[in-house]
Amino acid sequence: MTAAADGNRISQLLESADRAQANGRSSDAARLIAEARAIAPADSRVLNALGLQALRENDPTSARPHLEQAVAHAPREPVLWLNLAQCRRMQGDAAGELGALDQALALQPRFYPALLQKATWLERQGKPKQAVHVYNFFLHCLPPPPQLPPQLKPAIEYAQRIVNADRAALGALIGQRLGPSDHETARARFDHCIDAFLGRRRIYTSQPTFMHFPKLPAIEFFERSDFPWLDALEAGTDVMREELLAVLADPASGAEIVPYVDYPDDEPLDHWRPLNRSKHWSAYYLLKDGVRANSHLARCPRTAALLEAAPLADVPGQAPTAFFSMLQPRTRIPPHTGVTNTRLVCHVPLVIPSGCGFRVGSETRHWQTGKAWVFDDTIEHEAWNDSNEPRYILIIDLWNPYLTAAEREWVRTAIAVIAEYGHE
Amino acid sequence: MHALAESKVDDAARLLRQARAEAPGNPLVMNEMARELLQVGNAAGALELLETATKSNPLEPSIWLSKAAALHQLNRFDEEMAALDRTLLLNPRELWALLQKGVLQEAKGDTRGAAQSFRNALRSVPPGVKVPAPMLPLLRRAQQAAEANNRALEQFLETRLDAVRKQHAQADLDRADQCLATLLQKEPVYRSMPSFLYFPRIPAIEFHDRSAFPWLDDLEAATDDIRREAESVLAAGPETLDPYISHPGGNPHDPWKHLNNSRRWGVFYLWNESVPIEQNIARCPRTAQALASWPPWDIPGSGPTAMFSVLQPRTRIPPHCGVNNSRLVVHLPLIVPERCGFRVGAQRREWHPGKAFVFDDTIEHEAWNDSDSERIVFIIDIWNPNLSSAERDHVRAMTSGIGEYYGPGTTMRET
Repeated sequence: MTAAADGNRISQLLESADRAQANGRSSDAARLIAEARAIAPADSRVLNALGLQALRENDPTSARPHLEQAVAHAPREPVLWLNLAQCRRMQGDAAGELGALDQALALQPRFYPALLQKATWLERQGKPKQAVHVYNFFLHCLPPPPQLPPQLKPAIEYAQRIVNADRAALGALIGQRLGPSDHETARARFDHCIDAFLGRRRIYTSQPTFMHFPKLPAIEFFERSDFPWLDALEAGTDVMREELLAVLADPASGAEIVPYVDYPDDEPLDHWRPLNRSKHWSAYYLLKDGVRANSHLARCPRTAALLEAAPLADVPGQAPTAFFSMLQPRTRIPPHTGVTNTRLVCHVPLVIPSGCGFRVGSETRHWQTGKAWVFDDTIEHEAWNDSNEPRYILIIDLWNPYLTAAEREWVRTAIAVIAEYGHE
Repeated sequence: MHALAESKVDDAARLLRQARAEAPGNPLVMNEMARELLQVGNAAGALELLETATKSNPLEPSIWLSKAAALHQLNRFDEEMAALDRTLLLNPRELWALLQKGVLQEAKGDTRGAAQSFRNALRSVPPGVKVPAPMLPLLRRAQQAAEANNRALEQFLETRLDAVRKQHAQADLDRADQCLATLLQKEPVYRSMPSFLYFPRIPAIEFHDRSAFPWLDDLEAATDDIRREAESVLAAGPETLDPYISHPGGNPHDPWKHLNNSRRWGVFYLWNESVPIEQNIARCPRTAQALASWPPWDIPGSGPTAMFSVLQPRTRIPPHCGVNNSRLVVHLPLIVPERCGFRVGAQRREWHPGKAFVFDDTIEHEAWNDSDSERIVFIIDIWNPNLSSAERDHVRAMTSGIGEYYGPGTTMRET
């Protein structure tokens, strides 16, 4: 037989042996391995099989020479080093075990079975904090769930417990050092920083679908105090709600209330499909893409006056948009990101049943009637109304206050010209 | 592996034969048969089968896509477009349909519509996903069309944006220029990606405005003194320098492999992670004096670092991100041969001796010395000015707390 044919034959024999072993036919497995050994006694795969066989029989002393020869013949195979580490562990040879694990990890630093064993090694050696780092790295190196061997589940859960306990202890220590947070402004960003470090909050970046303006901070919810003029709008809450309810009470308004999501079917926007052209999320526009909805403004004159006084974003043919947003009972707006971070979005809550919520990035808030907020809609956000009543809010576009006047003018021109060109 | 793949093909053929025998009127079976006819050039025969198939199952996008292909072979392009639209209605991310729609729009002279279809096609390919080989030529065409559209848009914008620039001649519109460059896909968007601690809501600024750091004037004024001291330190021989990168090796994919434990990137520390190196400071008294006005990034156990950074000829520092965006890094170039360069995010700068700059090292950056002589830069750490003094105190307490909790040697490493 040629060497290649031998190689194939050995693979077949060892695969058959694995199957036999998996089906509990140990003696068949042993016979197949012996047959492979007769053909190629120095083959690293054969040596490895012999070593594993001895380990299964709880005989690391016999296994060790086989596994050591295997790594001598194939020193670049991480799995052979891992098996040798396992053997040395059973023998109580801690130094030898670590040496073999480090060889495996030097060849393949993200080899998660070796990371797991190294983490347990550190724990056994009384180095719990170093173990946490390796457990954490192990969790980061795992393949996606469908590819995970089910027998690994307890180890993964254990690693998660260890990492979580460590974060909690570190969080407590940092908390002690810093004293309690009173959630004042000075502390808000820093609390966010700690939470991200401890894995309690994810880091979200601004991901505009159309225009990304660089060097702007990604702020989920802006400070309300940055927008003092919102006082007037908030004070108009009752007035605006009254005008909206009057519109809704008029049966003739039906056609004026339109689905918010409305795009051609061949656009690759399938996450919107359930809401596309649906009145589950609908709008009564006061201004749309920079154009006044005059008849609507006339029906809501006091709302119109409030909008007149508000510093809305203005881009010819594109902005502002101002509308009453109606989210029907049991309706969810899926996570999505907006078009450009040069714009911010402001909500003025008008009618809020319980069971509604709004998330921007890592922060979830609940609308409170008459309390406006401003958020960056290019950070992933979602909204829900899990109640049995409709939810009504006013939504308006604002400029991002971090743009200079010259930059606003530039953005105004750029967006208008791009729209003219027909880019989007 | 190969044998297995072949046997799968055989299995498929066998199953198809079986399906034909058992369900010749099944629309999916008819679709398969039509595709075989298309492969041998019998478009009319294929179309006949597909008409029947779309009638009995009008909701299956793959049948509409085959029908579009048959109509294409028959040069019936308007009907092909209708079939493609039906396909996309059922599956808006059907890549082949998006690409083919763009091709048809292009042929009709609808270049902007084509650009939109091609853009949709390119967007439906998730990053890292390999596209089947037969689609590659069409995908390249889509990329070229999107590219051409970006160039046309750029020209269209130019005059109008120039007017804004003239009107605001005194204003700094660098951010707007960068915005346009990413919009036109000339540059990717780079973000701050600290490997250790991310301080949120800080703008990611590659190079900070020099005028925000007036104390750098003193440092720049001392450039000659600092350079002379660096030169005299180096004259003592290569052993004076420490390798900047030093970690356990052995990883063949380590981007730092060629610099690890190597003096090709050597440093001479005056401060090393908050520890003053007294004997080194004693060798550079004028440099120490020039640092009198330096507001260091001071965190016990972590910073500041102040060092001469010596990059050997023909040496490149690979793209990487720093540890902590509460820190910025200052470079004061001392000796800069030709063919050296530095990139942070999408921006490149050249070092000019005596001209300091400040950058955010948590944005991907790289450096190179392609010359035949040494490049020497003086590097110091400072606070990111976007942090308030209360925030600095908090970061200081937290970072040293983490260091104490885990013990030395377990915290930060650049990636």
